[in-house]
Amino acid sequence: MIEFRSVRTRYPEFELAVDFSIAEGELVSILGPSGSGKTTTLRLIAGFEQPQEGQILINGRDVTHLSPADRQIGYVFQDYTLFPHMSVGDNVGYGLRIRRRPAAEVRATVAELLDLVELPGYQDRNVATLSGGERQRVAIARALATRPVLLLLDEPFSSIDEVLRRDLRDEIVRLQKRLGITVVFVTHSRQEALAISDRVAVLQAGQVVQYAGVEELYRQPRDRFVAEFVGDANFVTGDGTQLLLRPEQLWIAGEGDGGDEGIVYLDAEIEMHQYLGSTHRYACRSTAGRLIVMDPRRRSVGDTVTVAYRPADGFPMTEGDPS
Amino acid sequence: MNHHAPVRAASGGADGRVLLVGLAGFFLLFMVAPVATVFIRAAGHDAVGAGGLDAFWSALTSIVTAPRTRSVITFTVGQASLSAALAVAVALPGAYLMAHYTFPGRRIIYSLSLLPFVLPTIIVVVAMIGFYGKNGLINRLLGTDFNLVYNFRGIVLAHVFYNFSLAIRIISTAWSGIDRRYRESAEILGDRGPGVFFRVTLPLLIPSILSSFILVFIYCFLSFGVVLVFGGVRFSTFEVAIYREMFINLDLPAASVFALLQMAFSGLFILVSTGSLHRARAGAVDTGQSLPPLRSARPLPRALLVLYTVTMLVFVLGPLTTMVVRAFTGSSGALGLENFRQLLVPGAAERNVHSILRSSVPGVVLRSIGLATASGTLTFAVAGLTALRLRGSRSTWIDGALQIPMGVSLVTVGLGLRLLWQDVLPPVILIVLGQFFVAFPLVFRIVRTGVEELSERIVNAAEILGAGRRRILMDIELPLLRRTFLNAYAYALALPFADLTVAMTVGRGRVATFPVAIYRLIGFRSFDLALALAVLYIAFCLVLFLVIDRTSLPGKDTP
Repeated sequence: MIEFRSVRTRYPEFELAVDFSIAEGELVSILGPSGSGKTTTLRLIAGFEQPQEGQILINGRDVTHLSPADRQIGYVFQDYTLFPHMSVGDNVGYGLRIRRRPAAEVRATVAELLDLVELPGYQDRNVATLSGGERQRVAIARALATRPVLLLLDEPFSSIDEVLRRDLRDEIVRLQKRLGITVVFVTHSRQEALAISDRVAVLQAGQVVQYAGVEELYRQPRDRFVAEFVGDANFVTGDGTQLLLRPEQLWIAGEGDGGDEGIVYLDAEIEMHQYLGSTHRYACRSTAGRLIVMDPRRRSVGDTVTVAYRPADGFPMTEGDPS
Repeated sequence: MNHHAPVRAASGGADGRVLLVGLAGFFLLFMVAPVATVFIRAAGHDAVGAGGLDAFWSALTSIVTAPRTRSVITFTVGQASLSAALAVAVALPGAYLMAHYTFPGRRIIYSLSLLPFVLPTIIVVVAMIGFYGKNGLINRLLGTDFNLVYNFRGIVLAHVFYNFSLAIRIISTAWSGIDRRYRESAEILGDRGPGVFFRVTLPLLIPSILSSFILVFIYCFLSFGVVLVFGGVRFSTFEVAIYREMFINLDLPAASVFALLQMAFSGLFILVSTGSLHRARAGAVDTGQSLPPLRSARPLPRALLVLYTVTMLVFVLGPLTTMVVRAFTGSSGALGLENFRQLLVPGAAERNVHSILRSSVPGVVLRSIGLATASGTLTFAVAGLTALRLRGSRSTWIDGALQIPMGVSLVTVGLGLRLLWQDVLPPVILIVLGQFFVAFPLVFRIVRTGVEELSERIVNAAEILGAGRRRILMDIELPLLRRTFLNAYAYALALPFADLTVAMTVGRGRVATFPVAIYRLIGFRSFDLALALAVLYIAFCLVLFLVIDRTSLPGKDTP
């Protein structure tokens, strides 16, 4: 579907070097801290920027030097960039009018798309009067109107409040499955990336440091940076290697527990406590260092506890870790 | 939203009100009352034999129905529309280049584009005559004697020359402010090149195009100096018609009827324009963080660059260079300081310069500087205090009222000031007061915008930290507003320095400032001396331009 072949492009601040591909019908997130090159990668796919080296292929066609207009891509910008001088309907129908589709067809498609994004009858609204969530839906409808083979979303939820964000996230997944379209989605939020993606490309300083399915990314991160970037990470030493344990792989042992085969018990003191609703998150100081543990029982800072884990659950981190 | 900080409301309330009342009194005494005086005198004028209002009424009906009036209306509106349309058309490609490209000389073109705007009309006139006139460079080069200036064409040409830079500034600032993602959105949806321009960019530019058109239109509608010299007896704007009736035909009722008509028209335009601007801006969506167009460093399409630069050179530098060269060219045709010597050394000229100007040239220089400094400082101080006082208030009517001087006939204000105050105040003071109204609307708008852009949160932060009113002013506001204030002060000085209208009407040509002196030299056909004086003027202004330009180039801090 999309293939980056040794794409290199240099900027004053960093060099972007990407080499990966995205399969048809996948929902892929590009995840990374700010300044890591996420948006640039998306802009390269769209053709707003051109790489200095390498090729970008979409469906086997070399699009490296093709103008954005010729790429058949839908793009939703961070702030949606709805045209302020056009109504909702004119925004959604813009791409179709460019393609000189008959007015009746444009009207019908616009209506259909507004139904799809659950804004029926919004054609004549002024975009200035829409809420953030509505704008985003209109932007998605506008991007889908030309039946693109690929939909690119640049931090589409960043200006939307928490509750609505989750709904819209689910809606994008629903749309993506329903239309079977390939979606590439840029975010700096690991929850977002993990929640909706089939695969995630983690970018660090212009390099894809890991490109994997969400579970693999979470359980078997390639290095310490990825491990810490995608979630809470505990590192313990076992058999001479570093083991990664996620907080839910540790537990606080009850009174009298201990001595079980294949379980390591550590004395620890609770340093910090966070209430998460369904569970509690504890940071404990133990003989093996600082550990993050999830536990459903309420404890207090300063309590002495026993933290337990199975080394067999741990994922061995490779040596020579860059960070 | 009106987040008026309670601290400020409590401490600034009383003296703030005093300031606004004082300002209202000032406007009443020196603008409203003088204009009213003109009308009252006109109504009481006894020239026709019948008395009072009847005379005024008969003047009104006879003038309104006279074919000459119709031609003044048609000419004033016609030339203003044409000039504004052409100025915007000339400015569009320039604005595009300014907003999208970095190229050597960009800053210089930007500075040059400011030059005609701050030049006094009378110097534009001199420069145009030197370049396009009968004995001007173009005719000499072509060996022809086209009359390019003393006619309709000349007036429009001068107006475009004078104003297109203003349009470039306004439009290019707006263009640099258009989020490039709008264009990208259009491209990704399949649009390209001209389609993107006409369907997306142009509509987004409409407010700035409209507002520059309206501004240029109003400037041309109120045009005085250019039309006074180039219009001859055939073409008058309202402003010139008022001047003619007052000082040449000595027909006060006729003059005041023209003044009334002019005010009615400019009131109408300002009303219509604020309405249409408001509607055009209503569509704008605040996208939060905005990405300006990438200013590309790649070489421009060569043809475009060459074409525009050549046009700029011919159009702007042509007249100005010709003026400078001719100023340094003596009657013998040799380069030298001949003209300056005649100007500055008593008795060196055939004609007595002193008697033409009723002053020595150093006297002109000192008088101009003194008047401009007095009036500029007054304008700046009043505008600054008012803007600080009004911060956070969105009272459209106070803002509107403070822009009124823009639409009021300066000739009428000038005459009224004389009629009403001449027994009490000397002419120089009246000129200072009159020139206040020349610069105030623009200076106030600059300061007001700057003050409003200063984040209220920064001030709130200082208040929370315990800073009092005075500390906030000294530690926060003044340092942050330094550029705004410098810029506003530069305009406050430049505009009265360049003013011809008020100096002529209040001083009746007897108070010789730079522009008045140049006008008189043209009047006495001492054209080369006028050029030399204009060059002296420009030398004086250059320093001021540099200050303005350093502080007002939009977007120079963005990459």
